Amino acid sequence: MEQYLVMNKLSFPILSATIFIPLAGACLLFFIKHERAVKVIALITGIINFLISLLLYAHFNPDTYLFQFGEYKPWIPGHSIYYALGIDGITLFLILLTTLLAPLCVLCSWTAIAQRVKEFMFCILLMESAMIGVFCSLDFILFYIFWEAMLIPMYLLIAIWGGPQKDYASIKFFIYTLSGSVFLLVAIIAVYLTTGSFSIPNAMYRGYGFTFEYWVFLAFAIAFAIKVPMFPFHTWLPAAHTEAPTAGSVFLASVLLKMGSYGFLRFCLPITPKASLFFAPYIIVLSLIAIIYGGFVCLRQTDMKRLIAFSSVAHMGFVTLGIFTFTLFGFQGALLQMLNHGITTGALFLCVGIIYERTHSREIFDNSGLGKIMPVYMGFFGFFSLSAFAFPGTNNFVGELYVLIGTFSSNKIAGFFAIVGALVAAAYMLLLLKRIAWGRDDTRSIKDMNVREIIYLLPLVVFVLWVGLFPKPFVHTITKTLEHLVTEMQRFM
Amino acid sequence: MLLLPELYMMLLAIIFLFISIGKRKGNVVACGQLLSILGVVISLSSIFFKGELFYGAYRVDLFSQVFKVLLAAGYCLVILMLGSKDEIEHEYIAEFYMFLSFSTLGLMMLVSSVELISIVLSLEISSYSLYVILPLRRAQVQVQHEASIKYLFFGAISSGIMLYGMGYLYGICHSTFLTDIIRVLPKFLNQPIGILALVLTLTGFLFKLSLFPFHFWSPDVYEGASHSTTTFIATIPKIAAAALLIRITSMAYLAPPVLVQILMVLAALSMTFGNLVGLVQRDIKRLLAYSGIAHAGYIMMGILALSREGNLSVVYYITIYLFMNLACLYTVILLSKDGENVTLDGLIGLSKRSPLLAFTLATSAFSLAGIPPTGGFTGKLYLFISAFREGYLTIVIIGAVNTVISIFYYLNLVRMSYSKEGNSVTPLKLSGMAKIICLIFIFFILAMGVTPSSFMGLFKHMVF
Amino acid sequence: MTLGELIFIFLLFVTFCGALTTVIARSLIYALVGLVATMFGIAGLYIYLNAPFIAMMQILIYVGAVAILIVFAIMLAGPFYKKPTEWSKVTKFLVSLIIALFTYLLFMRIILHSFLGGQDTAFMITTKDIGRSLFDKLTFPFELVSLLIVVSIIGALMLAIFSKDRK
Repeated sequence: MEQYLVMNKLSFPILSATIFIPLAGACLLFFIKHERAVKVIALITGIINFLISLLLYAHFNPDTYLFQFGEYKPWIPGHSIYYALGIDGITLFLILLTTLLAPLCVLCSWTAIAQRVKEFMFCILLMESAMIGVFCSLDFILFYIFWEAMLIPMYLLIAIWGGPQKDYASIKFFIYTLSGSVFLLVAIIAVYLTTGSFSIPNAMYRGYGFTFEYWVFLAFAIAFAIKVPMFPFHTWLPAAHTEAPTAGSVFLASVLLKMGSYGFLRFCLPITPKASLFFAPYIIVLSLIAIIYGGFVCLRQTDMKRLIAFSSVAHMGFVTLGIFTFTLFGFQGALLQMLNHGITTGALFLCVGIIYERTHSREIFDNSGLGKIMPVYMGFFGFFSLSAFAFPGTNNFVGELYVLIGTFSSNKIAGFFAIVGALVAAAYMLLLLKRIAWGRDDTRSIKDMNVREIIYLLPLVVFVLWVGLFPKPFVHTITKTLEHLVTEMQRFM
Repeated sequence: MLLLPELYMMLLAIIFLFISIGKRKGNVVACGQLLSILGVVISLSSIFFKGELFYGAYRVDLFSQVFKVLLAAGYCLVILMLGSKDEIEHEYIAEFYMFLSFSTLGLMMLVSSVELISIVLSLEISSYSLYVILPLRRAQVQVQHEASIKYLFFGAISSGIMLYGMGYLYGICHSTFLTDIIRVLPKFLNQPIGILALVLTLTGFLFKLSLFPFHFWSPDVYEGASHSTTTFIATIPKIAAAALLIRITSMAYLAPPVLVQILMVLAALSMTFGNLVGLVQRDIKRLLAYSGIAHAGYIMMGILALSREGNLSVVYYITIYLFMNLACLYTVILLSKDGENVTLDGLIGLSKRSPLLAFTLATSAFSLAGIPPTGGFTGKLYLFISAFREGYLTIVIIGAVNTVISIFYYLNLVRMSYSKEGNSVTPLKLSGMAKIICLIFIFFILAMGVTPSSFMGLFKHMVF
Repeated sequence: MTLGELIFIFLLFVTFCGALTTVIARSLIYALVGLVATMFGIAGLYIYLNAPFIAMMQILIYVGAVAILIVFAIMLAGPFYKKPTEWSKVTKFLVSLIIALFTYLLFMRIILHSFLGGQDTAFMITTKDIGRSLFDKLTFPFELVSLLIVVSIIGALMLAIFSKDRK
């Protein structure tokens, strides 16, 4: 195990800290009665955690593909289960994304959540903790525990604070994701019995027999495809997104969905490379279906949240498409696209949350014609809409470009269909923008955004422009890890 | 002093006998609570005793002592959970405690017995006591009679079948001592007679565990018996049954695949049947009965591995099962009005009425479903690994599918208490004792999920 | 054919006829008589197998106690003038026949595939051995029986009082 790790050289176990600070904050909430204090503490916890995670970026060494900031302690000795943490280029930005979004989620729920504030903040912090845990774990069991533990607070977020159909949506979400991950567990045990340890890096690139890889890949892929969600497994997503409270939607869209594609990158490709190559055509077809189908469904939506939810299906199609081209460009694009989608879609959900707080409706018709009434809001909304359909100069443009380059270099027809999907994306986002901004003459008096709301949207704006105009630091950081993945994959081609 | 826990349990029974004869029945409950807590302390203090008694018919070792601690802890929790709820007829509360003590005593002797006749008799002592307390229930007219008759009949039949199997064991080994049997039995394991003897002998314990073809009693008994009796029957005898299953199957490590196949079919049917029927239940106690049938199937996954590791995982699972099942039933006890059964609709609005109780229920339901980071997940992981390691992929996959099925109804418990809003919200006041018990449950369920090594360290030395 | 074999066949005949009577007799009392005959037949088989103690126990317990209990039960439950008609149904008869045949074949298979070779088949237990082992190797179960009886007596008493209270 040690050979895969660069041990943590900071004065404190930084990964453990980022995982457990939210947890500690959540526990602290139990002893506090006052509602305002609860919110403040949750916010401070989130911000502290974000600042600590910035240290990760500062000390990250982009010249190695090994897992950095490693921590490694025996946990359950009988089965060689270790408490092993470490991050590489793939996970660094996902963790930063999570820690960035957590305080924003607290901020956006400041007034939107009126009842059971303490429990709500508790769930948010618990989610943050579990999600960071998923990205850091280098041990299958540790990973699986965080992976599943994440479901419970997410389920509660939807089930308690959700919209009118929360019951249906939460159950569907829970059962869908859980049924996928049970097979993940079986696959993990199978890998464990073959390699003799639960270490994830130890299981990579070992050249198992094809039949073994075939079944393990299928078990992995079902779990991750449900999480992504890929085309036939996407039906839980619109319901869950639509019914969840704003913070829940943001977490779902920005981080939870990334776990599926992260799973493909971290597990399917390195552990079962031969089967990944074998199944790649099918996955690519499913991704293309997701891109085009998601786009066309979006055209017909009347509910803003539902529209954005379906656009997630399409965007995540680009991610899986990029991953299964097995090219460096594809991988880079997929990873960038994961980040971009997290930022942009998260921002769009925040925008919908803002308007929902004022008009108490998510219907496009009820919210149309806001251009004159809420100019600042429309500015932000328009900006993120442009970013969502990959307008040049925004983050998604860079990501999609990388993915498309990767796709064209491996398969022209797939590239063609992907471009059609990108065009449809422009159509539905512009349609939405048009309806919201100019839909009708409206003389309602709705208050424009207040300072708090501007504060939590601004970091996202900065990020959109940064990746859109100057993606080099991001690409540079992730390249070494992905290059390693490409070279290892080429051994099996 | 090797028999300290048993002697103490017998003392308890005698004390309650005298209380029941005497005129003053003032504070039986408080007295019972104190004495039962002392019982846990005493069995903990005797955990490292070692020795053999009665010409080798009674073995005191770490295996039996750990199980005795579990039994004493379960007994103590059941008595604490009963508290001041008056669902048992008041005049019979002392007798109720007495028979609970007798039953626990029988089970304690069962886990130490290594001789067939003693095994049967200890099991019968425990069962007879339960037959007697089943009808003690207030506010119900008919259900408890049906329950007690069913339990008696099925219990008698399964004991009969078990004796039949033991007769074969005696016939081929010419001894009732397990130490002798273990020497001779392997020679007969490749013959039908050996397998027949073993499987029939297991029947009595599969009945207590409510595995598939022997499960008929469990839903009706759970539904009909008073909540505290159900709580006892649902957990404590199952612990001892698991112990004896380990003891008996460990004589058959070299058994041919047919034994494993039989057990595997039973386990698969049990899981699938329990979970599928559990889906449509409205009464929480019935739901837990079917969940118990499914869990018997999971436990068999460890047994059928026929390995030391499998036994270890069974011990771990039965321990966590004790806590999570008790926690679920505790909700029923606290929620029920006048001793009536609680349906799923009765849970509506629980998270507002009593957040702690709702949280306890949620934790135990997630644990029963096997979701990390609860102990139910860790236990199931151990079971899956041990069965998988012996190459029984089929049963592992069936178990995994069943986990998914079971999510539906376990999640229903959480869903009802958290996301459904009731119209009448009357806060449910928990006493200080109830809060402590809830916290104990939550602590153990989470602790066994996150730091299994502390428990495993102890269990590792006890199994064979 | 030796005398021993003749006796064996006779005992088998008694047992079998008794069992058959028990099942197909139309009156409960006849059925009971058939049962008693079966018990006697089995006791005879035990003697034939050189186990006189078990044979005595068989007669004492089953004929002496169980059969008398059944007689009491029949008498207390009242006279049964109506014939039980269950056995006239052909399907039920067929089903029971199939089950019986299946069990028979199963047992035949098990017995044919089992060989108790290597064991000392001359395995005799006298009453003296039984008495000794009860106070020697089997003291623990012997003591457990007393506990079991205590539990059942107290339980029976409590249930009797309980049901009286209920009325």
